[in-house]
Amino acid sequence: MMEVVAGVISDGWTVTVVLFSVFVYIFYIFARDDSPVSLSARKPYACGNSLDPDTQRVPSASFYRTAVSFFKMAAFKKAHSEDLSTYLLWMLAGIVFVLGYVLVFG
Amino acid sequence: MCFYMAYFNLIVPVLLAAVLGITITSGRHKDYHWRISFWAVFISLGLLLMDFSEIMSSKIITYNMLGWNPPLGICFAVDLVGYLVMSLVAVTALAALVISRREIHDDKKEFYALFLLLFLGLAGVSMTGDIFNLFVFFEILSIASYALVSYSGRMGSVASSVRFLIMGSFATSLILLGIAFIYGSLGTLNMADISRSLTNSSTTASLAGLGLLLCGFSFKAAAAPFHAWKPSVIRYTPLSLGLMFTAGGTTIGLYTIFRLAATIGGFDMSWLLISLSLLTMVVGAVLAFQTHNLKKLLAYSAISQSGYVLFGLGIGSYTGALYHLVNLVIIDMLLFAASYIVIRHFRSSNLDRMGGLGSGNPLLLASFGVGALSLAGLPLFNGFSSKLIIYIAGFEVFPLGAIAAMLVSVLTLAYCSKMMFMIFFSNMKGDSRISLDLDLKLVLVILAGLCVAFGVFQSPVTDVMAAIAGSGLDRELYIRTVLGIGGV
Repeated sequence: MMEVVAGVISDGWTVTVVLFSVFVYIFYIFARDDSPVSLSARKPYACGNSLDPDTQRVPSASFYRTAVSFFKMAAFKKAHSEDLSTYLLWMLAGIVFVLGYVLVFG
Repeated sequence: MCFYMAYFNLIVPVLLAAVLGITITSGRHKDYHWRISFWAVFISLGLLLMDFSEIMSSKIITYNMLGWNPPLGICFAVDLVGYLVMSLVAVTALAALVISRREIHDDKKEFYALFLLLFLGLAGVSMTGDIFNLFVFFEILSIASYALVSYSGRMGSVASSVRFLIMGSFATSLILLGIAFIYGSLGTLNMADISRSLTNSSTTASLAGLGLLLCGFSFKAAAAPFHAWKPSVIRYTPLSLGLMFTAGGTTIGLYTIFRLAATIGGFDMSWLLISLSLLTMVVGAVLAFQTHNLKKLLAYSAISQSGYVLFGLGIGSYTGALYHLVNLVIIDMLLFAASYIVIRHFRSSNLDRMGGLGSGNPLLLASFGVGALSLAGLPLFNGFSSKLIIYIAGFEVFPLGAIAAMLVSVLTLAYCSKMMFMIFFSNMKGDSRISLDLDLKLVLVILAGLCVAFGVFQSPVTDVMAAIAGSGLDRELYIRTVLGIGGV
């Protein structure tokens, strides 16, 4: 097989990005506001009710709940339930696919 | 002559494994077994360095056992790709041993004898020049692996080991059957001789043999749909062993697929590899996204990332594939070392039971972050550099596949950020400050530094990988050197 020649990003570009990142970081350090904030100012204010920050915190497990439920395909989960016969069935399907390809297109 | 590698890289681990096996009941402390294992791997790495100048000058070095010339005699043949893979395996073994020193209990001394046998099997696969010895080395590493998975004696690990044994035996049977088909149709077991014979003519039996070999190698590389063993095994094993299976075992599996595609040949397997790679990428990434177990997440992630290497091989971007393979080993070592620290702290691999490590652990946070960002393929990190080469080559050959690979990278970023968020930035659970020993700090700093260095200095690394890939693709040179003939 011949190798496909692919382009790469030049070192000059990389150095530019690094320098830009350093500049942004330095800018951030000087620009951030470190002045003390009173506790009342920190409290979230929702529809006239002040809420404690802890009650507003989203549990980490819920952070991706929508996306996780989107990808929660039953077939994927069922196929990875540590059931040996299912695993062997997957392997058998792989063998049929590979051998079929090799014998038809090889 | 490949004197150092062929002899000592195989003899040293065998002899020292035997020494460790004999002294298990002698009452010596676990550290004695650890030190012997560490020196065995360290010596192997040193021997590799001693052969460095020779392999750079001759590109391929061979050694015929007891002077019997191939194709009849047993032959070891190491080209630049094999050398790179052997080096990766040795470095991975050293990193795994550093982790294992704390992770393995004092009464589990047999771990190190089996570990050396596993290392021997991995080293042998990367050096052998004939497919039957390839099978033998696979058997050595497989048997050591089954024993290592079950050595803790816990119910989950024993059950996992039995599953692994049945699936692994099935896979090695496929390899043996493939070898039988090839030997029956071509009358040779030497890889160079098989390649030469297939150049002239290929039969249905030889093609079926190659297909069976690909199935067996895909199992070792944990490519979908042969991947299911890996998360199950890694969930129940120590992380040091998980690292050997993930970085060492997968590297060897992918190397054998490279050898099959680039050296042995016989038929154009591009679309076959592309199909398997896309399936591997997607399945690994989706399952990594779903799981709440850190060990399983790392296993699924390794499966998904090995799909990129396969995709590189399929589209003919061997430079990108090798570059990503090297990056994958570095990232795996970094994430497994960092995960060991996290899991030891929380005494659980369940992500839901973790959190709050973001404050007070800057080195751990930074190294985990570098590993996660490299895995996701963000600019300035090594994962980006290798993936970029694969994407660009992919757009030339199969644009839809390249787009799919890019989408999987987005999914990778999602599960990496999920992992980071749950470990470091979610609610505080218990004492968050972790004290790290010097050797673990060094491992984290060096590996994180390599991730950045391989990302920033992309051009020189790409040149080196292109040279290595070019050497691996030179089939005529391989055949001429191994068989000792003037022309093909």
